[in-house]
Amino acid sequence: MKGLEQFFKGFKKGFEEFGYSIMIVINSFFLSVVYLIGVEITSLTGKLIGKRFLETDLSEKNTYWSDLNLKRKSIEEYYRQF
Amino acid sequence: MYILGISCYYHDSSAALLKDGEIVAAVAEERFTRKKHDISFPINAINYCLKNQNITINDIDYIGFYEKPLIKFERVLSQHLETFPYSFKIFLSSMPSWLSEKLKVIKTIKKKLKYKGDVLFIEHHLAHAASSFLVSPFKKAAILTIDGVGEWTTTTYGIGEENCINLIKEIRFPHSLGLLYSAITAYLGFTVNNSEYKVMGLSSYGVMNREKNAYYKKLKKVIDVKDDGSYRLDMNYFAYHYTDRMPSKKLCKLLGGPTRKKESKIIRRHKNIAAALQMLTEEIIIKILNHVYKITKCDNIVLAGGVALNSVSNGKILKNTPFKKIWIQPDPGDGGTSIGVATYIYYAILNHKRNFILENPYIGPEFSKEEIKSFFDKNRIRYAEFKNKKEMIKTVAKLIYENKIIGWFQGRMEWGPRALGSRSILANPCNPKMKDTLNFKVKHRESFRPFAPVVCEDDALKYFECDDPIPEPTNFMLMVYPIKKIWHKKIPSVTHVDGSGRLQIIKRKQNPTYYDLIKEFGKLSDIPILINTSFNVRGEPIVCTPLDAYNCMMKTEMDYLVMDKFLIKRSDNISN
Repeated sequence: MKGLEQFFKGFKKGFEEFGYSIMIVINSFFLSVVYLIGVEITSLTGKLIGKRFLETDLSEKNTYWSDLNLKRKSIEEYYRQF
Repeated sequence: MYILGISCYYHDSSAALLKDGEIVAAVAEERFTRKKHDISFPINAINYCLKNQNITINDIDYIGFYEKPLIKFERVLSQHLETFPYSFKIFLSSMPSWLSEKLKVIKTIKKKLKYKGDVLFIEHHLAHAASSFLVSPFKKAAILTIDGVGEWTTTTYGIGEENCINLIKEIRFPHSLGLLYSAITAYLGFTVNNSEYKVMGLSSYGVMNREKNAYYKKLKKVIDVKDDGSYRLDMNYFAYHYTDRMPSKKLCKLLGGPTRKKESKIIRRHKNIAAALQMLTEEIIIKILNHVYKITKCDNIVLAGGVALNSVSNGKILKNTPFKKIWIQPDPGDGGTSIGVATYIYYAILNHKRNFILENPYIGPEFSKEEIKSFFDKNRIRYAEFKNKKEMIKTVAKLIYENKIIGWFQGRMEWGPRALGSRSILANPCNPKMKDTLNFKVKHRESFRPFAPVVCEDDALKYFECDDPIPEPTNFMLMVYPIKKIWHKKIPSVTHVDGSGRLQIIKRKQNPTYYDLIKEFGKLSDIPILINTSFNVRGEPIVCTPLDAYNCMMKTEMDYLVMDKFLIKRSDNISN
């Protein structure tokens, strides 16, 4: 009985690990497709039209501070995740 | 009214509970899961907070989350779009966690907590600012937050007045002082988001002179700093915006070689790089603060964000800026934002008058005498019980004076990354061998790392060149000051190589037992100072429960454990 219990425990664990490995393969496949199509097209289009997604250049300006003006808003604003 | 603040999924998950504006419980998740800097949803920390007040999740009026996840996700996508195709590997590794948990915060909260109420999302740097200003003793103060990165912001400044905060200006990702410090931390072979304080400790061994340290001039090339302290990094020297590696090949070339391998020998070059980084960091912080003073004209400054853990820099602020008073809460890093969101909701959003100052860091779990005794009895642990506190203090002070190393487990656990006298290892600072003994036999850590002294408030100015009046953040071990030269040889084990000490100053009203113990040790040694280091071993979080404390003692060569009024001698329990 104990042996059987151990067998099922091991079987379950092995199956979970197998499921996890499959998940990684499937995730990687779909994410690769998203990256190579979605990210690539958007990135290349952006570069063609001169859009910068990150501001990386140094400049001769006197300051790098930019306006934020973050202060109290109505409570409804805080329900939003953006 | 109860408000629960949550911080998780990046590093240092935590939860904090506010009752009518007062922080009644707060703790980091790592203390329960025993995974250092645990990032997971802080279910154990939340359960502790609820249990502490004997309430259920249905009694919570609001839950606050420490950032706006969709804005952060926009930033992450922007990184991939800007750096395509170099970010492919990190896209594959980071997206699953975004899709499975980071974008499902409400769902996770509702599912894991069975919570039906409102969830509010506060901008990350606003949570940082609130975590410090709204629990500070100041009605009005300038605010500076500096960390790795929040949603987009890496540095902000603004002003706080009564229960309002206005963050006026910002510096945005990828330009980040926190990430610069982390990149050099990685270059020096230490763990990012964990070992920045080691680099700070290492810097004292290098040449702290801008003219003589060649790496200072080299590091100046990687960052463009304006007169008002605003800055941008030359991103050619960094790779963190598209890989899991922080310094780029160009930075390695600039600094004269590849990244140091973990555990390999630390050479003079590494020490000088650490020193150059520390000098540069201090210079930028001081420049920013002088600019912030010009704009805000406030005498008080509050700091928050992970960079506010740089206690060497903190100790120089009042001397080098016009600010007269400074405040930093015990956990200014991301862990501390759970306090920030809870206080921001209560005071700023719901517009309550401020009624709380975080003077006492002891807001974590505690264990009753009965629970501790039952733990000993169940596990057949040999112990002795003191008749009263007076006997305990006299005995423990004598043991420390005899160079015994004591695990000190008393009352509620401290909030924040520093051990402040509830979960501490205490030892004799007058013994010149104690630093090495603690490093090798107990803490199992690098030999260059210093130990911190703890001193009572009324003795501090005798031994340390502190600002006068002594700033409150010294209560939370957040300021480094020079030790007066005449004491260097008398307290060698807490005197760092540059003659400084990251001191904790304790007031009797904060922790009377701890305070009395230090004074009692002073009667024996003539020097009322103890070594106070965190009760853990390298790589583990500070102990939380009696079991953690007992295990930690038995795994190391600590001599005694003092838990509540019980004394456990390690050698009596080795066969157990």
